[in-house]
Amino acid sequence: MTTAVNMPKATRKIVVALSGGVDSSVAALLLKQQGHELIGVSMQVWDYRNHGGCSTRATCCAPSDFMDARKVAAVLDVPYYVFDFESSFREKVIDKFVRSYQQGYTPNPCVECNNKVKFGELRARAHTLGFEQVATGHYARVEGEAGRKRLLRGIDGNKDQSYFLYGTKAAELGATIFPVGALTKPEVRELAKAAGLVTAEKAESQDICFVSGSAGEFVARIGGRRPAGQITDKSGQVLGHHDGIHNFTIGQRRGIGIGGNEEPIYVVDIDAASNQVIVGPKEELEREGFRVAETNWINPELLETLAKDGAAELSAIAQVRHRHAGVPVTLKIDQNGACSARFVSEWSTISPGQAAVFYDTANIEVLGGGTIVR
Amino acid sequence: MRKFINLDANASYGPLPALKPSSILDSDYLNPSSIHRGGQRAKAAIELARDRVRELVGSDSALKVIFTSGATEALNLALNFPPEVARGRTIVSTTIEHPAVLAALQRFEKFGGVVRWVAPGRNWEFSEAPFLNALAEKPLLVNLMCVNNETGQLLPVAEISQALRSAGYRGLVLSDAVQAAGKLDLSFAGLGADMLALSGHKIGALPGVGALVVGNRTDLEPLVVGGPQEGRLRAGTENVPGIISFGQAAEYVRQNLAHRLARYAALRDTLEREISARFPDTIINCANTERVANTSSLTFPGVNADDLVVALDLAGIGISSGSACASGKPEPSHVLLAGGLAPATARSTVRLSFTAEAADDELAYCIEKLGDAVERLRGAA
Repeated sequence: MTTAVNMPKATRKIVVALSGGVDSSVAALLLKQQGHELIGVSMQVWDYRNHGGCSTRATCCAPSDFMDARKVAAVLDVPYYVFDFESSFREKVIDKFVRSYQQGYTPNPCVECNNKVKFGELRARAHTLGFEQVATGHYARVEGEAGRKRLLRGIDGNKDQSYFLYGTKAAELGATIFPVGALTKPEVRELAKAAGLVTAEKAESQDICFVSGSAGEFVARIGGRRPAGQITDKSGQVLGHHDGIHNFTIGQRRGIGIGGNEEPIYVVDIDAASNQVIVGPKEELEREGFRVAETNWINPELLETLAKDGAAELSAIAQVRHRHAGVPVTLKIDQNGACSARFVSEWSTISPGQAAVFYDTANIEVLGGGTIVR
Repeated sequence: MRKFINLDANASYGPLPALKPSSILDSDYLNPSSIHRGGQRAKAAIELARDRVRELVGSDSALKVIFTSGATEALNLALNFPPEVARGRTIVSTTIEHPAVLAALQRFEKFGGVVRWVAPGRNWEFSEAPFLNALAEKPLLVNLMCVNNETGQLLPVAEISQALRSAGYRGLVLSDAVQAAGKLDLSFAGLGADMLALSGHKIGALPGVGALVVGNRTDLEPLVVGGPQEGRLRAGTENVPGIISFGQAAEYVRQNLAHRLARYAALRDTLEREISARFPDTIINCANTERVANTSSLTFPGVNADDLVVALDLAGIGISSGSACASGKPEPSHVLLAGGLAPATARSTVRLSFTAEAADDELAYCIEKLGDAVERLRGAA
């Protein structure tokens, strides 16, 4: 049997988050095979019946997925519960997502959900029930001795989800298990098939579980439509009109609604104050770097070391969106943890609101990250 | 490993040990509507079960027992008034009914009917006055449950129906007797009702069967149409094994009522006494009203009831917070809110409901584990 790298040594009490997908199913399977005392939990975060949307779609938080989670738990003989986190999900994820789009940002709700709900609420509830460890089906790894745990990319480069987990603290990593992080997706499917789990052949979930159509439509439905406005170029010349800034993302090329250009045009900026979408050729997306706020540095010693060495700068690889390979940057980290990044050799399109996650120069260990600001 | 303990009998009693599987799953039983002996035998078994269920509520042979898929369907059938009947008419009902009744009454309102809701008083009491006051509207039906499923409270059905009749009320009286069956000497005549709803699995039969017991009412509208089964009031081939099990359970709980009631009382009183001694701030809901003996509604201030349910499940004990709801959406119980509990208090309330089969060592184990869980959850909060 293939085992997880961060395989626990003794029997532990673990809450495993079951989404109803194959990854978390196999996470539970592996932990069960290792003999741990498990409970399986699905998190009720969004009621499609109240909000319309993707109830028919197979995503990670649709009610039909709970049925699959329940079946997997039953086959593995793991007690299974649904925890209701709807109100905190609404407040901490949905409201922030909608507000952010309405202000011209492109937020990443999965990061918020992991930090605040999955590893916030779930961990608290688990603790109440006497379970200190939380396991999920994320493709990421935790390595190192107690007290100096490191968060690493998952082995499977296509599936790596460490990007979504930068908000974790080193202290929490000791109580976090990612059983599939050392496996590839095909290996995970093999294990599920061999164990006869109903989720073995299940399709991949989407990036944002609560959005079925476009993010813009969702924002309009929940938060109201933003007014139409002008599309201009950098100099302010009006090129057309848009149907609300919440429908646009910096770097977007398709669906801008302006044709007849010889070279492709991109959304290069969104100005919420003037309600304008600014477009231009690709080179206008180029920036020297970017700033991040709401940072988290996984190992606080990193800041202490920097301060002690008097080193003003740190070399790192910045991943600025999901499925971005990462580019070299030089980081300048303030005493309070805020940070600016400067591109070294190549630049990448920056969308304010997205998470920027910083890895070591080998592009394996997550150092920390934050939300990109203007 | 210890056997799982059902301290949630009001949700489902579980098949009674007294059921006779060989006669429930008799391979000679075919379609009860068939003319051949395979049908005759099944039909006879159903009719014998019908007699047993009738005996559970007294043995007036004039009573009609209509087998349904459960009490929810029985209540829906009783409250199935088409729009032309509902329009402009009134139904009077308590606010602490089962969701089956609440939803059926919402449909009645949608069809143009009016519902006059009667809430319990400060000490959960129901007086005659609000029911009598509604008589001016010449109600079509008055509904009040015999025993509340969440608290075990015994409602004064007989007193209120008698008061209504004395005041000249000629309409229908419906009572949900699901939680009364097997827990008191149930008498259709004594309650003065026109219809009683019963559930099989709440008294130890198989799930999937219930009954509406009907006295003097001829205008019932079937919900399910098709063949002529159940006096043309419920089409579809009868649930033969379920109905037979219902008959067996009905007979068993009726014949063994006295000692089962004594057992219930002993179990509940011991648990309430010991838990109250360990946690003096425990609130026993409906403690000062008449209650059936198997149900305990306990509030542990500061404890999340849903966590307590999970903690006890992990200890091998099934209890519930409010009424059974697998969706994981914990709304505070409408019953507890109607009884005057604050939402936070309602969310700290669990229901323990015993089977009469619970052994002394199981009771001791439950008391210990419940106490330990409350203590730990309070410590963790």
